[in-house]
Amino acid sequence: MRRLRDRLQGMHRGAREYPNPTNGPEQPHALPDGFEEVITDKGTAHVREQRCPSSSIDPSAVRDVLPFLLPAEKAPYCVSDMLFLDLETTGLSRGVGTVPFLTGVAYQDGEGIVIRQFLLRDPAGEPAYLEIIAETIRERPYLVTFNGRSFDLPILDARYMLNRMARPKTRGHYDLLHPARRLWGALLASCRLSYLQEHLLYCSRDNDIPGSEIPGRYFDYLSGGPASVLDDVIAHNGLDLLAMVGLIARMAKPLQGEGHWHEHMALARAAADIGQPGASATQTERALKRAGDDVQYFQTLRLQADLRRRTGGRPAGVPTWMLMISLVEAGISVGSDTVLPYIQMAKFAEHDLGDHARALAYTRRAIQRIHASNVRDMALLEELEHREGRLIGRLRRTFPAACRCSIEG
Amino acid sequence: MSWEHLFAYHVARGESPLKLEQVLDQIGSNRRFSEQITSWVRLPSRPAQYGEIPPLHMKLCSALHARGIRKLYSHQAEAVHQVQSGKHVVIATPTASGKSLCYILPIIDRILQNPQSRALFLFPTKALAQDQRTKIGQWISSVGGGIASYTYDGDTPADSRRSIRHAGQIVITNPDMLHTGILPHHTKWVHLFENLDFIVIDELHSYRGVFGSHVANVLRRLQRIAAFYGSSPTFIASSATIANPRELAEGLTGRSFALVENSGAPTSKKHLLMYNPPVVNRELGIRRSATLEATEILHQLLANDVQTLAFARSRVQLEVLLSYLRQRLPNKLIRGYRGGYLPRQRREIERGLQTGEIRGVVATNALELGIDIGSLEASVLVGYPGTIASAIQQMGRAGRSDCPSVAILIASSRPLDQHLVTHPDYFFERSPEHALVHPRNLLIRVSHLKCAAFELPFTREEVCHDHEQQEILDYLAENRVLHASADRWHWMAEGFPAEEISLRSASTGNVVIIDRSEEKPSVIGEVDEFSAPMLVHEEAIYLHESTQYQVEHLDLKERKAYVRRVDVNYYTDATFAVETAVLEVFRGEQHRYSHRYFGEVRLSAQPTTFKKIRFNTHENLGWGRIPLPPQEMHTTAYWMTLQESLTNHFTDGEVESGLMGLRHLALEVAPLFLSCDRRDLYAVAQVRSPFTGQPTLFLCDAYPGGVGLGESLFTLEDQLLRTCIDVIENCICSDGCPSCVGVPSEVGAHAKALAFRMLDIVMGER
Repeated sequence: MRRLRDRLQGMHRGAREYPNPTNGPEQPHALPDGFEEVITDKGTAHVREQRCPSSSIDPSAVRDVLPFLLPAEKAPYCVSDMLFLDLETTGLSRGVGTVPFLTGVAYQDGEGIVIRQFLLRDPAGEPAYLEIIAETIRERPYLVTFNGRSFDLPILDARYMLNRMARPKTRGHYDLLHPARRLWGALLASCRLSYLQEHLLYCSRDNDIPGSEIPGRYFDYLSGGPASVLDDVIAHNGLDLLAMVGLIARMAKPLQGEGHWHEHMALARAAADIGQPGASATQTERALKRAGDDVQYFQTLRLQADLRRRTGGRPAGVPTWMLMISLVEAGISVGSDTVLPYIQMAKFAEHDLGDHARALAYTRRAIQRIHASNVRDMALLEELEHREGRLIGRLRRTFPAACRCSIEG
Repeated sequence: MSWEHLFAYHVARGESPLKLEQVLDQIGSNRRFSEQITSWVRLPSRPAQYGEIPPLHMKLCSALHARGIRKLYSHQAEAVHQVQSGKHVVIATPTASGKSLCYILPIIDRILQNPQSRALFLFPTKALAQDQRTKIGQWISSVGGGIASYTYDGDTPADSRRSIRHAGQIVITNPDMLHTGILPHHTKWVHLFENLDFIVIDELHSYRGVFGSHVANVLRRLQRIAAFYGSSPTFIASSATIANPRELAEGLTGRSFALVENSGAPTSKKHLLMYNPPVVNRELGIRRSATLEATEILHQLLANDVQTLAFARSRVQLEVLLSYLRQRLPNKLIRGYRGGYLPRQRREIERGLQTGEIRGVVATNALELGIDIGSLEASVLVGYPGTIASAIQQMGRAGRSDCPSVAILIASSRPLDQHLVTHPDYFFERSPEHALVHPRNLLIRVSHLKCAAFELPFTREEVCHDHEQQEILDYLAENRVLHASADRWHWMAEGFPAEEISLRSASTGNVVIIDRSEEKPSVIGEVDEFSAPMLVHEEAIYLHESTQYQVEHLDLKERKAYVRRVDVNYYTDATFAVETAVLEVFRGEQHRYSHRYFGEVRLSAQPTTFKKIRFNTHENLGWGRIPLPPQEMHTTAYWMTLQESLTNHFTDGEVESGLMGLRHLALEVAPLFLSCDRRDLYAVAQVRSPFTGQPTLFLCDAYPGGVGLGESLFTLEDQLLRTCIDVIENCICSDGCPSCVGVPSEVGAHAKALAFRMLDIVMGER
């Protein structure tokens, strides 16, 4: 009988040839530098601990910025309960076969940041590896991740499930990806963690291993490669953890008054969303100062008027709309939404002042603006023409014979 | 319906049109038709046979009563009873016998008893799943609602997936989604897998061949995951009538099944007509086209206001039929039905048929699945649809409970059509058709072992009884796909193995066909690697959706063929030499005049030249070389050698001619037993086989590694050869034609007689 192996090889013609593994399962792989054995209830785990006395979590930033940008999460009482977490995995797919072979966490104690990294030395040792990670999470149950909500945590959950272990309970989870997108999505070309680290924290990652090479390094290690193949991955993971620590402080910067226009705009919106009009007003003021050109300035005014209207009702928005109109008429703004202040003023005149003639005048100016602009919103135009007709009807009923020519002229 | 139509319809009705049987009498007494009817079977009506309703939840009992169901048909009662006693059950009763109730009842019953209980329903297509969901929904609301049933497929919106995973008590999906969307994410489906009590496999017979062999492996993965979460679900399968429903269910799942196959549903009186178009040229065995004959017969039926459904074999045939009929019957509303109709269009046709507004529908076999049109008075099959199961399903579309109906098969000139037109018993006695799967096909098995390892590491204990599996896992570990630790194999590679395997494509190394006619190139199809040099060599005309494309470049290394749209008056036909070499014999049986074998072979195809052939006239417009290397494939095959005791009676030339004729014939006839397409087999005849030293005929599985066709042919050889004899005997031609052994210019002047004599000698001693 033709051997099964020949048939298998026939099937995989052209597949890469690998030397037989030098390390069988009975011969444990060497550990990378700095890793030590730790005994858990479920066997031996492998941990490396490092101190970074120069880094720390900025407590005021945590207090100010996280409730602001992640209002749905419960605030931790002190930064020492926070655990930064980042996984290095055997792939990017979220199926259950993706293994997080290196789990890095960072937290703060009296002397600064501590980085602990757990290595899955061999897949057979996964229960012990998961056990020590669970212990660590239980000690500091407020997690901080970057894209952990859809990547790191579901992957960890699956591993606990597969090993029939209870997953550690967390009390809060700050996924920094969403606030980062909010603050910098419009400002930067990418919101990848390493990109943010380079462009916002000015921390070079020149020698960083590309993410796509990470799984291969672990496969090499498992099939008997030297422990040093993992060094770059371990360093990469450490950098990611420190990047998250730095990012929180960086997020607080615009709150302290020195931000970019985009950041102030994002914060103004965030403050408005959680019902803090005062903070929101401060941020719009700052955004007005930081606006880089007429378009940004005009957009800020629009946001300001909108926020004011939301808190103080339509009359509160009037000064800003009037300012916007004067800018438009002076030919200063080139933005696409120059019709808006006219519409708002028309509504104000009609509903708040009961001045239909003035409302009609604003409506007509709005219609003129639409005709004058090169982008025509036909739905808006129709709506305005409808409004115009309605106002004319009102005026007719109020002044039956009079001003016919002036109204319809 | 417009007022005019309604009026016309009622006027037509007012003229009291002929009853169906009167119309049939007319057809039967018209010599134009009666001489072509090769057989007219009258199946009597049969009353329902009932069984007691087994003990069910109170709510379900009242729901049955509310629908006026006091008793179940005997097969339904038996099926529910078997399921309730914990057996895996396969139900193989005719179309419209109420098969779905067999699984709906015990499952809803269980969920009513225990709301934690979960059931997974598998349908082969999304459209069918949607239709069944409606049906299941009706039962759920008739027990007062409160059971969450969802379809989970590629169209399920992302925001509802989460709640389906948590709360879905009945999850309706398809094997492809199970393969890529559920199993690799099983940790998100804890609630389903921990409480999985039932797995329903509807349309079981559609899981055969390559697709079935894949699905068999997916079902093994499913059971493995269920076991991990501590559940051992009961399978309930329903199948069309095939020869081996139980064997198929067992092959697909690896479990033993109870078979329920005696239908208790009532049937009305039914006429089964076999119709062979008149002979145009006896010598060449040419008959009038089935499409033209069908137009005449359909005209008779529709003109007499018999509501009729016609099944065409292709889109083109459908369009032709439709336009002929509309020309001749401008006042009748006749609709076409092809695959890919939107639900709205389908509902419209369903409604039109119910109200009687639509008098006729011409459909492709897309209508077999996913449309509920109730049943009509007449069903006309224009050509044999390729499998007995399909034919029975299409014939079953005619037949209301209380009045007679008719099903007519109009034969084309294909050998199987010609055989079946004289053997109506295939359609109401026992089906000859075996649906085959071969889950251990190495290529398929290895792919799914990767997926399974991704889903859950393999333990040594788990595979200790399966040496082959151990060896594959070790092999994968050596190739760094898995990592072997002391007691397990772990998935240890990048990527997502399930996404690299399509359950429906012929093989993993398909050549993709890319259309470069537009600025943005688009993929229009794919062909398997082995056939690529034959089908998409440079300058070949590739037909897709009746559009012509010319191949500009074939890149076998990158597995891409680049084509451009053209409009030419010819097609191309490649000549290639297929050779087989026997690698291993698995089974063999020796008779006096012939030996038969089943084993593994290496197929190689060397493309040589291609011809450009003008449409209609078949004139040769030129030719070219195909400078491509031979393609190789390892697969399984059945082969028959002719022993010297037989060949002694013939000259060498006669042996060759007879063998060539047999090759043509056997390839056409074999699908009757295998529920497959002719293209699923390669036939090779060797006058002196290097392996056997004798004249040998090989029938090889066209999929690498085989999907069970070879072994089945080995077992069914007697039936195969007897049918070949029958086809030759009944063929009207004098010296061979495409309907039997092939045309004399290709197989030799006396191939028909020679093949017949050889078969006669071989079978004479059995």
